[in-house]
Amino acid sequence: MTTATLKPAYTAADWRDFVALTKPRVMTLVVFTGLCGLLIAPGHIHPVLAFTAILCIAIGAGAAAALNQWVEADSDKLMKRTASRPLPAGRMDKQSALHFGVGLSFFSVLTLGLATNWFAAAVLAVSILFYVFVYTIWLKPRTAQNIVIGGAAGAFPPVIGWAAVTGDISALPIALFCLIFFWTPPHFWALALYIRPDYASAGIPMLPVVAGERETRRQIWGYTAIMAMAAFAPVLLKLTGIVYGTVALLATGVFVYMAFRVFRSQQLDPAQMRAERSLFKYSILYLFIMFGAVVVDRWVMA
Amino acid sequence: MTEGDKEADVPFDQDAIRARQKSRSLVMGLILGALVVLFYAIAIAKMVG
Repeated sequence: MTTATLKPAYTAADWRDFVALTKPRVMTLVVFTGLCGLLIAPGHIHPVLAFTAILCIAIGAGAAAALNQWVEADSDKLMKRTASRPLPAGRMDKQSALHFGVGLSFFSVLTLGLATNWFAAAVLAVSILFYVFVYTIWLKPRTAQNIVIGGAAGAFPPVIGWAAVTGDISALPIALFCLIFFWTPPHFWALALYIRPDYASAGIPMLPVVAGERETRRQIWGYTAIMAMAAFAPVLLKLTGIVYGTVALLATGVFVYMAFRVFRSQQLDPAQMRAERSLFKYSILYLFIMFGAVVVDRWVMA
Repeated sequence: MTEGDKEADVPFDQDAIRARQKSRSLVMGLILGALVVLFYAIAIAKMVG
């Protein structure tokens, strides 16, 4: 028996490649915001069902990420940042990625519906479909405002977490949805500024590629102002208390300062864009801080 | 000889494929086992609720 043979067109992908297809690092933020939505919701949910709800939110996000990479396999080959992903690197065939993404989508939605309620499952289904069809297929290759509208897909987890407990949606999850929705443009465009050559070579019309870095800095500043208003909305609407208000003031103040540095910067060399890298990194921490503050606030108020 | 030619001449290790398939089957088995436990726990939680 021989142990060496000709290389087949596609070899069996490693299980780690399937894990990589779900973008585990992005999933941490999704899981955290979903968990916060679940923890602040009024009412009680059995811990096993709560765990299942968070698991389904995570698997749904992983499914959307897998389908996103299935759609973008060709353009991912052209970008340094994404070229080593399982599909563009040739470690997995496209059909496996499609089956994996569709399978996880059905599994996450049906399991969430069976374990909690069908309203939460419907919102999860909408978020997956929105990410794949509205953002990835429709908006991303066509308009520089792709992530403004597409950002809604990432804003659903706290709403799903809340709905898993209550079976409905009220003002606070909508306010948290708005916070993530308006946080997405400055978060994503800070990254897009310093990987602009990558997007340009892949032909993806991200704002820095289409409108230039000056206009992108201006829009980062504008959306940061709107995001700051969304951050204070829960306090102004008396949905949260002094703990969240204080944390929001400090954390958003730092965000505004960092966004202002990006707005004022005239750096054109991506390798030297320190303010942009700092804003991108801080924006991730910011969302963890804000959602953590909502949970602590609700527990203190209770 | 170009780099591409060199790459094409490299034989692919059948044992490596088998090892990968084995690890995939093992992970799949563990996931299915975890799902059995999860659905059992969901059923109990729903009954208790």
